[in-house]
Formats: sequence, structure tokens, C-alpha cells
Amino acid sequence: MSALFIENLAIETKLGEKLVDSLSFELVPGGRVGILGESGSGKSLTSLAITGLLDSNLKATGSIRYNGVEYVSANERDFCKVRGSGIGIVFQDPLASLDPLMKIGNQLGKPLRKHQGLRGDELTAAVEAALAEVKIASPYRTAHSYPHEISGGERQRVALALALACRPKILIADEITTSLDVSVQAEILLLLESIIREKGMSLIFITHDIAVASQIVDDVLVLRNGTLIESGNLRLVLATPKSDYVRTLIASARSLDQLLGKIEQSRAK
Amino acid sequence: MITFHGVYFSYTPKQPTLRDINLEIIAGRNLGIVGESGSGKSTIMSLALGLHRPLTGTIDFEGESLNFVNKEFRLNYRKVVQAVFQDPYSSLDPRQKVIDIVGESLVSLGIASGGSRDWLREQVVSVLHSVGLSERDLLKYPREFSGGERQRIAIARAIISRPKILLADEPVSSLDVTNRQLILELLKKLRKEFGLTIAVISHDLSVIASLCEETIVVERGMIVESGETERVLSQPSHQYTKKLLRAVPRLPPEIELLK
Amino acid sequence: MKLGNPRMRAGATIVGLIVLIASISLIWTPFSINDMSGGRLISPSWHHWLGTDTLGRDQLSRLMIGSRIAVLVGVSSVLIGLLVGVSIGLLAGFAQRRIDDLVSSILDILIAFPTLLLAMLIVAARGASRISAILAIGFGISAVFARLTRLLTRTILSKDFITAARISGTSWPRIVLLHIYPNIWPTLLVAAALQFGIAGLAEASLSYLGLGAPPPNDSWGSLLQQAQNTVYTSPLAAIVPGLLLIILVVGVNLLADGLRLNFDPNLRGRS
Repeated sequence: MSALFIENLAIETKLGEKLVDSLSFELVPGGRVGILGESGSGKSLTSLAITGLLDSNLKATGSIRYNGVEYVSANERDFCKVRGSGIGIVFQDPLASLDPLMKIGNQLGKPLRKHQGLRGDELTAAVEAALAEVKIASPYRTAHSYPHEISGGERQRVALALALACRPKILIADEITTSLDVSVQAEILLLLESIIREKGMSLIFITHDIAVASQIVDDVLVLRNGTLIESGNLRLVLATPKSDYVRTLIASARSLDQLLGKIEQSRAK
Repeated sequence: MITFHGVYFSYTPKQPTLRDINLEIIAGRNLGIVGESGSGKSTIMSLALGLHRPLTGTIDFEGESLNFVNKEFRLNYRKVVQAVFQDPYSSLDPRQKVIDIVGESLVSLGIASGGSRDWLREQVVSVLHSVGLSERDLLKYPREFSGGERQRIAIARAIISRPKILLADEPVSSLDVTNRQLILELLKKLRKEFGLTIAVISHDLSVIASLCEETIVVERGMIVESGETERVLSQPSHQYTKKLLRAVPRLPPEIELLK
Repeated sequence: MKLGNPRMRAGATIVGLIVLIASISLIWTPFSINDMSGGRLISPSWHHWLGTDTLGRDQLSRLMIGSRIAVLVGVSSVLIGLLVGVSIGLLAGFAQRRIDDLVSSILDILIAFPTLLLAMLIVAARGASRISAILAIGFGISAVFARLTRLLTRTILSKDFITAARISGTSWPRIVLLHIYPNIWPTLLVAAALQFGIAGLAEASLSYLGLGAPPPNDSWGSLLQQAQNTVYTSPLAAIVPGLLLIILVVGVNLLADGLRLNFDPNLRGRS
């Protein structure tokens, strides 16, 4: 039984404008799917639809089946059962996902207290363990800091720890490295890889950068203006792109390599 | 043309933003300034534009020290050195029409005072054509354009005074992949057509590699490496440059994919 | 500029009517306010559409004059507020960190200071009069405009198009004229519309407490106060001024809302 089964998902505004149209894919347990697209492609809306976080003037139709249960028109209470322990989500801007007025330790403590019933010293230990799990250098110091007192990379690790707090089976990562420096991005991707592998989680990785996607996902869905223009095994898509758009994406990602290659060639002469 | 000698600058007394910066923008050789966030690369641009003054060290333009108090110098510098910014959504005044946005420097620098409104219009139309826009766009507002088109308007605004140097701060970072390529091509074309020397500030090595002959790498306010782009990217000598190159996500090589 | 939406039209109609009544009252009212011939506390009749007060004066005439005062106080205090507030706000927007912090703190204190208390202080100094009320309300409003203008100015100054203007050689005065003013006046206009309503209410409160101008030029507030004693025998005298105040404030809020919908660039969205 697949972990997540999406069929003909469509997201519409109240005026009938289709923001996402006929999207279908399957996420098997332990699978890694990348959703590739620019801003406005509908990639983030898809993840919001899956977790029931769509804005109230948008409507999702089609089928979203998680563990065999249909969720596309579920109400808030049903979605609450899915979020956290079923599906965890990390967003692009950690400054926006963390409460600026609450210390990190307290924020992380909330889901841990609720789902694992921990209190007092046990809770503190669990918080620090959670921070250590995402390779935070000094868990104690970080737990006692506010979000703005730590770096962007550390904030994203905290956001990841928050998403993992309830041990979800599926993790959705929505542009999690986009605001980060390229060196920090590399570290976060490695971290994500190790955590997913260790816990046997499934991953939906949303990004606009095909090279970043290629580091971590097996299958890919390419969205443009709400429609699926290519999908399948990532390596296959890279080797035999069918659309001009994907060809442009690949060319752009290879441009540095190509330029370096040209330099090598001219030096060799 | 523009030279930094031992420039030291900081926004707050406690943390230096730039330390001992020595660089030169040479006519005809595009310069790439590579760095991550917090490196101070954008501050280099602000200093080069005279928006701030270095705490120590000097910045020279064609041998003369930058002196914005002197009106003649100021008017000439602003004509000759122009800039394009990263965010196409905040670099255009939403309440101005395209013709006023693009023509602003001609008016403010007194270049248009001799001519009529028609002359100004002609100049704007000509430069709009150069960036791939049309006469029909003259009276429109920024909100009627996409990100890529807005960046073109910003470029048109920058080149209308026929500058010799164009400073571009992350000119394509906010654009989608199709537009990125188009704007880079546009910059290359304008460089030839207008005889521009471009200084590009970016964290994206492929952008620098495609546009610039010279590169400097900035880490936490200091220049750690500089030289010909080809050399810096293919045979980096400093740890940080190597780290940056390693960290760039790469697609699996084609040979591997064909298996 | 579309004379767009229903809210704006409704608000403009209401406010417009009140202004119209106020203007008419300048040249004509059914009865002179000094005319006490009507007979004490008569119910609405053909002669006196809204009845008479304890001294036999025609209620309708008094209410019309009251509208004039509501509009006058509203407009003048908002004008004072705009002039003083926007200037201070612009300066604070451009100021260096420390001066800006100082000005902001002063503004916050002023805003927190109750208008009524301020009014009492001014009245104690100058005596109760229309001008005292206008000054007190005007001061309170200017603090609000100053803070708003400061925020707007700072936001705009942080945008790249201001840097671009400086790079183009545009002088600071021209930047204020070409780039700052056009981007802030819609918000200020909306705020002014709102403050107009607040000023009207503030004036009514002041008059109710006896800090406004003395009779016979009564504002709706003082009419309310005077009607207190006779509220059981002549309820209309208490209800109508209050009702008119509500209508004025609702109208002004609709107008402000409509203006905001019309002008706010954010709501227009990007292409």
C-alpha cells in the first residue's frame, strides 16, 4: 500500500481559475519525489493541499489518499491527525516558521510534550537530543536562544527538528535551501539525506533548482503554470528530456560545468 | 577605472563589514565579485556608488578621489557609473510610468534640459528597443510587467545616460530560469553595443563565469582570492574558493546518465 | 482613477450629505437658533420636524448647526494633524537612528496620552472654546500622522528605487516630491478620512463633558448632554444627535475603506 497517492489533483480559486491541474503521482514508503518548478508553478500549493493548509479561498479536488484514506475534502480535525505524526513539513523561510518571541527550546518542547508526553528534565533532554539529531553544534545554547540569535542554517535545522518531532512517515521540504548560502545548502542536504535514510521516511522535495533536486530525489515531477509537463525517474528525465523547458533547466544547471570544461579545453591546447 | 585602495568600512563600530579591500575595475574587463551573504559584496557596490564613504582608504575614479560634494564631479560620475539591482519588484517606483522611470537620470543630470519632451521620449524609446521592449510600454506602470521585463526596464534606466561602467547586484538571482538566460544574453549584447564594463556581484558562480573576465572572491569582508575568472574557477588557490566550488550542486555527468 | 467601489460611493454619499447640510446651515436653517418661540419640548410636528428643546428652540435647526460644527472641527483638526504630523514624520523618517528613536518615543507618548486629558489642559489654559477643542484634537491627530508618515517614509527609503533615484543624480528634495509623496498620499488620505470621523467623535465627547464651545452654537455632543435630563419625556432629542454621530462615523469609515480599496497598490497585485 503506497504511503501517498495523488490522483488528478486540481486546485482552483473561487473564481474558477485553475492554479494546479490534473496532477497525479505516487509516493511509496521510503520513496523520494522531487517537485520541480518556478514560482507560480503550483508546487507549493500542492504541498499545502496535501497537508490541508490551503488558503480558504482555494479548493482542492481530485484524490489525495494517505494510508488508504481519502483526504482531499477532509476537515480540519481529520487533517490534524495526519499532520505532525503522518506528514511533517519544512518551509523556505525559517524566520517565518519560528515564533520570534519564543525561545527555541520552548518551541521544540511543545510538540514533544504533546506527542510523547514528556515533562521537566525528560523534556529538556529530549529537546537537546532533537537538536543534536539535526547536528546543531551546541544544543544547550541553541535551546536557550531566540530564532534571530542563531544563523539561517541553524534556524533551518531547528525547523527540521520541529517537523521531525512527531516522527512523521512523510517529510515535505518546500524550498528549504533556497534562502541559504550555497555552502550551508550543501550541509543541509547531507543532513536531510542521512535523516531520511536512517528513519526510512518518504520525502517530497520541492525546489526550483534541478541540480539541488538531483542530489536527493529519485523521481521528479516538473510543474509549469500548474500543469505537469514531465515526470519520471530523475536520471531518465535528465538523459532524455522531452520538453524545451526541461532542456533549459538542464542547460542552466550545466552551464558552470560547461564553462569550466571550455576552460579546461583551452588550457589543454 | 575605479580603484579601491585599502578600503575599510563598517556599518556599526563593533563589526567591520569590509577590511583592506583593494580592487580595480579595468576598462573592457568585466569584474565578478563573488561572495555569500554577509561577505560585504553589496557594500563594495554601495561604496563604489558613493552611497557611503570608506572609513579608511580611498576610492579613485580615473585617478581622482571620489568627491561627491563637488557638483561637477557628482554629475559626471552619476552619468558614467550606473547600477542595476537585485529585486525587480522593488527597484522600480510603482507610481511612475516607464517613460519617467527610464528617463529619470537624463532629467536629474541636466542632460535633457536642452531638449524637449519629445527628445526625451526618443531617447527612452531607443533604449527600450535596445533591451527588447517597445514604444507601447512607455506609458505603462511597473505592475503591468513580469519580473524579467522589469529587470529590462531597470537595465534601460541604467544605460540611458550612456555610462561606461555598470554595477549589477545579483542581476538575475530573482528571475526564473528562462529569464535568467535572456538577461545574461542581453547584458553581453549591451556590453558590446554600448562599450560597457560590467561589475557583477553574485553568489552564483555560473553567472560570474559567463559574464566576467576577472573575479574576486570575498569572505567576511576580505578579499581572499582574485585574478582571471578562468584561473580562479578552474584552479582555485584559497580554501574558501575551493569550498564554494565544491558546494555548488551539480547534475550527474552525462556519461553516467547514459548507463 | 476609477470612482470604483460601492463602499467608496456609499461613504462619499453619506459624508457628502452631511457636508451639504452643514453648508446649507450657513445660509439657512428652518428657524433661527435664538428663536425660542416654539414652546417647550414639543413633539415632532409640521412646524418643527424634530420638535423643540427645553427653551423652545427648533431641534432640526440646532442639529443642522451641529453638523456644521462636526464638519468644521473634523476638517480643521485633520488639517492641523496633517500639516504638523506629516512634517515631523518626514523628518523622523530621514533622521539618523538616535534622533529617530527620540522622536518615535515622544510620538508614542503623545499617542498614548488621552486626547481628553490634553483637551482639559488646553481648556484650562485658554478657556473652553471651539479653538481649544480643535487644537487638542489636532495635536492628538498629528501624533498619529507623524508615526504613520515616519513608517511609510522609512519603508520607502529602504526600497531600491530610491537608491536608483540617487544614482540617477536626483536631489533629495526631488526624491521626496517624485518618489516619496506619490507613494504615501493614498495611505495618508485613507488615514485622514478615518481621523475625520474620530475627530468628530472626539469633539462630541469634549462637548458632552462641557469642554467644547458653549451654547447656543451646540455640537451634537452638547446636544446629547443637554438631552440627558429630558430623555424620558423627549427621547428623540437624545436619540437623533447620537444617531447622526453614528451615521457620520460609519460614512467616514466606508469612505476610508473604499479609498483604500481603490488606491492600495498591494491590492492591485502583480501581473
